[in-house]
Amino acid sequence: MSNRGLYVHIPFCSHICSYCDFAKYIYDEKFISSYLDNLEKEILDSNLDSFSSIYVGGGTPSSLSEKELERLLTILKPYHKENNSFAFEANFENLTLEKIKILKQYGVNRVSLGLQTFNQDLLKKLNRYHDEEKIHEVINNLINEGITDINCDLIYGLPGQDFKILEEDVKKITSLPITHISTYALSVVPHTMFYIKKVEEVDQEVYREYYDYIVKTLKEKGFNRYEVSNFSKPGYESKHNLLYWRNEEYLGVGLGAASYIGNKRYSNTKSLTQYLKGERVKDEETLTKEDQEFYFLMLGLRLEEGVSIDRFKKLYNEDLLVKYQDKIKELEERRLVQLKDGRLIVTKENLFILDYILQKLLF
Amino acid sequence: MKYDKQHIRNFCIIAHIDHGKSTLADRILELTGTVSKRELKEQMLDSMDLERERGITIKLNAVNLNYHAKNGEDYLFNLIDTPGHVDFTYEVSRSLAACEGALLVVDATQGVEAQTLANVYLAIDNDLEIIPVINKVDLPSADVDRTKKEIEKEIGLPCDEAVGVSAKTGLNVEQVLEEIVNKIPAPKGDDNAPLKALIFDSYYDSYRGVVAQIRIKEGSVKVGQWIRIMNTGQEYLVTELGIRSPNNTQVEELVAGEVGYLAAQIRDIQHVRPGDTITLKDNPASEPLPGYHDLNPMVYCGLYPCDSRDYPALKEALEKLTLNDASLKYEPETSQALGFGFRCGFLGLLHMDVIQERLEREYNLDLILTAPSVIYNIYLDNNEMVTLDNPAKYPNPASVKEIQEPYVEAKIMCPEQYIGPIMTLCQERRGVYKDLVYLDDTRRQLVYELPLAEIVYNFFDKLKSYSKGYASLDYELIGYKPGKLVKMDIMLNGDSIDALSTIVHRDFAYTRGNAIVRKLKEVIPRQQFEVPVQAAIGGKVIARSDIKAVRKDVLAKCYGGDISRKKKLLEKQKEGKKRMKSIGTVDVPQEAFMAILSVDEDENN
Repeated sequence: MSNRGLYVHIPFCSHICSYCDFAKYIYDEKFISSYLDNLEKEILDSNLDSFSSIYVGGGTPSSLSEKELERLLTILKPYHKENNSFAFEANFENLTLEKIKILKQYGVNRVSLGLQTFNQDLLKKLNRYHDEEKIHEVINNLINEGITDINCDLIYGLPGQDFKILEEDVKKITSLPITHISTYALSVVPHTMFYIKKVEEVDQEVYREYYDYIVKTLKEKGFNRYEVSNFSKPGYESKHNLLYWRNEEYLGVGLGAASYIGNKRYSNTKSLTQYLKGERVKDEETLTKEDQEFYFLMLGLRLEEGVSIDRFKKLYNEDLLVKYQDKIKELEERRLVQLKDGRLIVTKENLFILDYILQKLLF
Repeated sequence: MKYDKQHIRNFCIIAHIDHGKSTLADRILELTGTVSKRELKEQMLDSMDLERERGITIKLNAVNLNYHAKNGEDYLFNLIDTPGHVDFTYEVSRSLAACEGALLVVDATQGVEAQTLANVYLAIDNDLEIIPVINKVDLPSADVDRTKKEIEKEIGLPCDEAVGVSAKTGLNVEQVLEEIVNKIPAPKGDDNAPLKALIFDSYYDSYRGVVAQIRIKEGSVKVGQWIRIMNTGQEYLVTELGIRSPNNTQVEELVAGEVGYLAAQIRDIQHVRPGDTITLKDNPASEPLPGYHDLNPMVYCGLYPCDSRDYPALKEALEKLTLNDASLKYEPETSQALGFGFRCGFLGLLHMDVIQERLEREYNLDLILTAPSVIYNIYLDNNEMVTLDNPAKYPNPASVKEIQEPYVEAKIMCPEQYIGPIMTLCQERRGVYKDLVYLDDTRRQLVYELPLAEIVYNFFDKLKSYSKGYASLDYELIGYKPGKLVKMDIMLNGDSIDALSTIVHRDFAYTRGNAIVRKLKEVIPRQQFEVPVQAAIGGKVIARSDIKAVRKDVLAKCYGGDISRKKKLLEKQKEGKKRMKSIGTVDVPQEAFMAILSVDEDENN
């Protein structure tokens, strides 16, 4: 059978970051145990028990206390098989050595850390509180305890972040003993502190300059781009996230989590009270074949590997090259896409205008 | 039941937008039991959705109501609704001519607004008895005394007995009905004189043909009689007469003083024009009622389907619309950039807007409109005169001896403090000052001769913003005058786009060219590569701006929860793309073709 992932959302945080629009709540002990009970129940209710990867995201999963963490991992343990990817998101400030030991004990083999930037002024603006010393400490602890597959997130285009600061950030992040870097262009979206404070995104020209610099420099340091915003040492791509982009199934449990099972996509409520009452699913979309194809292309083209024409045919019984003949021809002529080894690929230098290309291709 | 003249009242309601005309009309309908509350859709008289949405009445509707007055007698009220915009002044004047009186509705929280005045003056011109009605007196911010004083001062209408009402709650509306009985004169007219019936509106009905809404001024008409429409000379056999209350009720005869409708299997709405007079074929009136004139389109624009496969649907929709709208003209044309479409003529910009919206909503068409143009007269070297309603068809400049453009006499009414900025606006628009009339202590009327093309070029919006909405504009075509006019081409990526060509005055070409290329840069989305936009006259580039290349267009994070949202976002963009036209590799949105209308030259200074 094909792969299926399990995503577990922990919406609690000790601080709310200025750019974050995920489902999140300030950590409050009184909700946690009931929340974890609901998570357990939600997984059971799905009647699914086989997953090729588990990803615990947030929010800030590492904001849970050691006891709560053990409880969470006890719930997840039965679904984890050795050698499968078991990833956990954490913040430097609350990922203690004790918690790391617990993670290791329960089989977590990948940790993703919200580093964002090394610049102290910018971190303050983001409402995050860690410093270089802490970064090194946490990463060393992880490695010492045997969790060596480590991702750090880097954000660029922050207000006040000039090229010099970015250069510094890139230099420092690439010298860490980590396997994976995700870099995100800041986007100011509703329901965030930045949005309320009317922070403006930088000009696309600037974003592009930063992005091109990041892609080039990370590559020089051995981190290859495999998706628009994701870079890894060879073999260390995020197995779980690849599921999304390869249009494979996943069960998402917890607040605001999304699932894709069979021909349906669901998303959960973002209201904690509703969720705790067991009123979980807020939206449900039944996918037509057209929708499936749309998602397949929209997601697959985010990857450097692009989409497989064979797989498209197998899944949808249709020839991608015939169905999109004129569009592909035009985009090929404009060097926006290319056909290579049986795959349709967005040309390397144009991945950053993917949505522009998708509009041409899909409409 | 039949009413004698003494028990008929024909009236209309004059009000500024939002002052409550339709709400008052609804209450009157309700109070007279014409429509029960249950079937009363909000604002019954404005029957087109578009009208209801914009709060303006475009098409006239007449309705007959029965009222049992306090004096114990029954009256027949004919309420004739009027549109309220400069494009339709003629139609307003024709519907006013069908009445003996008018209710002037003024919002007690707003006072008298400029636009109301133009229609009040039209009513006074038509000798109507005007009854002031102060509306919205239930609102805390209502100032009834001040409003009364304003009406007295600005219109010269005594307001001691003016009724204060709330059309919304129905407060005192009955008193208004009594005023209609007591103050508006009963219609006059001799039932036995030769028939003179004023057509104030018409519409097409697929069973009855064109239906004329009429007011009998003299004489009478019966089903089965032959009629003649005096200015067009057409003759028809009357198949149906009726009144609207508000649904059609058939009658055998309409006599002097009455308002009703007439059907005669008329196929062509062009034969039943507002303002024309119907008489009988036998025993005709010696002359028609005064005030009739032809309504000719003042502005033209190209109408194209976004999707060229919609051309037949557009054609059919236009055919249907012209069944009901005699002032809409269209003929096929082709554009290199836009493909097959139609050149359409309208009474004015609002008319154009209304038609566009109806085509898009009622016929579900996505359209591209080119910037509106007036009709130019071009004199060639060989002394031949050609008329030009599409700048793209401008003849070889070398063969043009002279080009003339239509001028209007514009009357602008405004409070005195706005005179300065409005005069500046008129000068900037090549206006020639004619007169300044002191209407009263504070109100002035400016008279200017202006090229119609300048009025079409967002003059009205400017006027409104220069006068904080207080100025009103009325204009009349006065003839053609020569001007230093040239054709300006717009080039995208070096290719001239015919649908974007305009005629401009040489002295203003540079500013306007600059404004247009900037505006185009703003509305045309970024493209794969940088695209130059240039304005050129006779091949010489006078302005340039560059549409930038798209550099970042991607969602940074796309994980489980983002995926459905991303698809929705893309689909929303798809809707936008449907309204784009690909010219070469450049996607040009609909509004680009109208860019010329919304440019703000001030931004360049």
